[in-house]
Amino acid sequence: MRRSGAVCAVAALAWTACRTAGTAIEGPDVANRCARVGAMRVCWGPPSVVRWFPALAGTLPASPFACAAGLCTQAHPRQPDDGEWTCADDSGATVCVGGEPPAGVAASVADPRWWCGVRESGDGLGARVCVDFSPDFPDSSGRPCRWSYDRGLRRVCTAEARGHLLGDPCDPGNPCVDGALCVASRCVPPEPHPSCWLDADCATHRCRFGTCAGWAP
Amino acid sequence: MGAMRSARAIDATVVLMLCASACVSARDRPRGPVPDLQLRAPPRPRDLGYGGRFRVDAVFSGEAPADARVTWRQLSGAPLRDVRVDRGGLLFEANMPAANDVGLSPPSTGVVPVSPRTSAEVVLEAAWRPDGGETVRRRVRLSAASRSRGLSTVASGAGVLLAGSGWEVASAPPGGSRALLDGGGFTRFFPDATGRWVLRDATGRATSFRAARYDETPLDCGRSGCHEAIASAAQRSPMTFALRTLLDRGLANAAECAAACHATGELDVNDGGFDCVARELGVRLDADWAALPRDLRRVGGVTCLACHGPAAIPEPQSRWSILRADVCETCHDAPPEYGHVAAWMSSRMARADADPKARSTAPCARCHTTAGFVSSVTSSVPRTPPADAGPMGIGCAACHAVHDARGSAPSDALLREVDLPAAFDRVPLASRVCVPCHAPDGRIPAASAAAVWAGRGGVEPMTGAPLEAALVHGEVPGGCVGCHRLGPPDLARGAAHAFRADLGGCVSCHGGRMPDTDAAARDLREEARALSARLASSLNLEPHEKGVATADDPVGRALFDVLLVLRDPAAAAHNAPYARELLAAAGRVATSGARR
Repeated sequence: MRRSGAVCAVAALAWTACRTAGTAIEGPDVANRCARVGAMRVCWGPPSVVRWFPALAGTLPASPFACAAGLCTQAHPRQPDDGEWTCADDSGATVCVGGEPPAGVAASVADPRWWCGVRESGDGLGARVCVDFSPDFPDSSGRPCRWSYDRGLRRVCTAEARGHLLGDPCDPGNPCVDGALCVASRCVPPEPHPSCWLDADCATHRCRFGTCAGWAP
Repeated sequence: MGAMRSARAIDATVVLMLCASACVSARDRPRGPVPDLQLRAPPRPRDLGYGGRFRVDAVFSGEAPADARVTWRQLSGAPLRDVRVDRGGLLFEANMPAANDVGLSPPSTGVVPVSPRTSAEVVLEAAWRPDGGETVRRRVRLSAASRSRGLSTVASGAGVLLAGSGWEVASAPPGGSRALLDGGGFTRFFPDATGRWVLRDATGRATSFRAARYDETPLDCGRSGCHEAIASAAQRSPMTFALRTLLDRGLANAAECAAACHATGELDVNDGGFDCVARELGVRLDADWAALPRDLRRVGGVTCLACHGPAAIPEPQSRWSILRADVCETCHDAPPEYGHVAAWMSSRMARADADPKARSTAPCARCHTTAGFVSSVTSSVPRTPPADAGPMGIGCAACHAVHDARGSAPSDALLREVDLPAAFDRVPLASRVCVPCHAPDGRIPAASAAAVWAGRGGVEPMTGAPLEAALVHGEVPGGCVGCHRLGPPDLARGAAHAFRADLGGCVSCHGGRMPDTDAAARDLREEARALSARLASSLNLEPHEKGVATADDPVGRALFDVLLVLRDPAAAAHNAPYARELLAAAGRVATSGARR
């Protein structure tokens, strides 16, 4: 089994985790093809091998959650850059569409945690799609979150029963959320090639986590 | 850079952790926690009302020292009234300055514009010295009114001052509390919900407001088909980069100044502006631009919303108000440091439309009103104020175009670019905007100072060909504003906006002596008057006032040249040789007996 230091270096202390977890799938490391997915670090390809490692402790949230009456609200959630975005949570990932440059803002700065791509659609919803596989959560309970645009932008996480999320354990009797892959007993997203917001954006008519199902370069 | 800073921070943390035990052993034995002094400001500390009574409590975290004595002093602002300090300094009470104390001149009704000068901001400092310790100082910043652009697009959370009487909320958006407070001669309106508010005054006149937080307002003004060109121009504006430039220069320690005028929103108000979002995120302004959170960058700078206000585009009948100098005054009226508006108010420009006729007649409005001038030199939709709007002067927006979409790089002063006849090609950029109103327009030789200065604008009376001369002051940097740069002496910045001539600058080029322009001016004026009398004794020679234009014949052209000189009170200083040439040409017609 080849465990290159490069991958673990990306994840800092993951080196120890790599050695002890023993769950990585064999395959060469691929620069810039890894992402934090929930509590894991996942690397894709080539050509279709997925590796995952326990990731570092979570980064600080973009802004704190205020919790009351079973709802936790984040007033300033992460977005791909300083532009205009419409976002939605999807099984533990956040997908955003838009990308209109912000008017009157000194140089928009892109957040490197997002995977972004061009969306070929003239419907006015947005020309870019970005996905973050590790959005902020108020705690580790995996409670579902949604984006609210009613009175200002908010990300609201409820105390409802959690659904299937990326990063969950999986096996043949406990399948992953639609569109995710079960790799080494964990649900991981397929390699992201963000290009869709709606199913109608895809020739395959299936858009999952911002990527058209069955995507091929 | 960011990585280096992080590495240093980690190193510092490690060092602190390593030394912690040693540090503890080296200390004196702990004597219990030292209480900390904190100040409890009144609710809505930026909207206390003119003359409003307020109190600030000094409180100790932990156990208060039995004999604690807190002393107070006012660090800045107009003097507070009826100050009372009680309970050993733990209670401070006073009345805010009155509107008159800060020179507030409100309109008769409607939104009262409030600048830093007229907001009656005061800074108080409380000091307490613990036994054997160093003096602890805490400051609190208060004002009678939040700054206001005078627009109908307002920030929810900030107070809006209303002049007039009998105000009531006619309709409020969902969640609005309909909070109106009277006091200090005004009504204070607190739009505490996002959406459209309609208020009526005692006369029944309705005023519509759009309220929102800054951070909740989309910044998609530049969408294709909307304000694409303007947004593109704003992207090059120094206003947009006002905060980033400060951070790049390492001046973030001036955090209060930065948040107040290099960013969007009001200090200490929950309006979704920079200061508000920074408080919500717990971020201090000591980072690189790129290290700021996204929602701070979006309000970090003098953004679209900083001038236009948050919320939706104003209703059409309110859009003229963006041309008011009040919009700029929210930052540039803070004398003595920022004296642009104070200087401008001392100039004739600020009173250009004081006569109602100057506002109501189109030819006059072109050069006597901001809206008239802007629409005459741009293709923008006219923003003509309603008849009862009152005078606004030739305001900032006439000469400065903060997002001029003409494509070239903006000047530091964001001066408006105007198209001029080729004869004025040599006028430097800094003064080109002066020319349209200080050079004759067609056959009406009204103001002519820029034409005489440039040696352009006259005509050969016999042929009608251009009569031109050298630009004798062409070497003065900046043109008009190279000399017209004096203002009140106590202003650190912006004094030049009084536009008074700096005659001291003449000496360096005139052999160390002040040229005697008074005598030359007297001679020119006497000669011009005599010529005008000879050329048109049967005509009323006050075309500016009475609309009589000169005719297109030798006598008419000669009169035109004479009027060019008469209409420039400083013709002798601007370009005496050209003034003499104009009069000489007119004189040849007068002596030749040419007739119309």
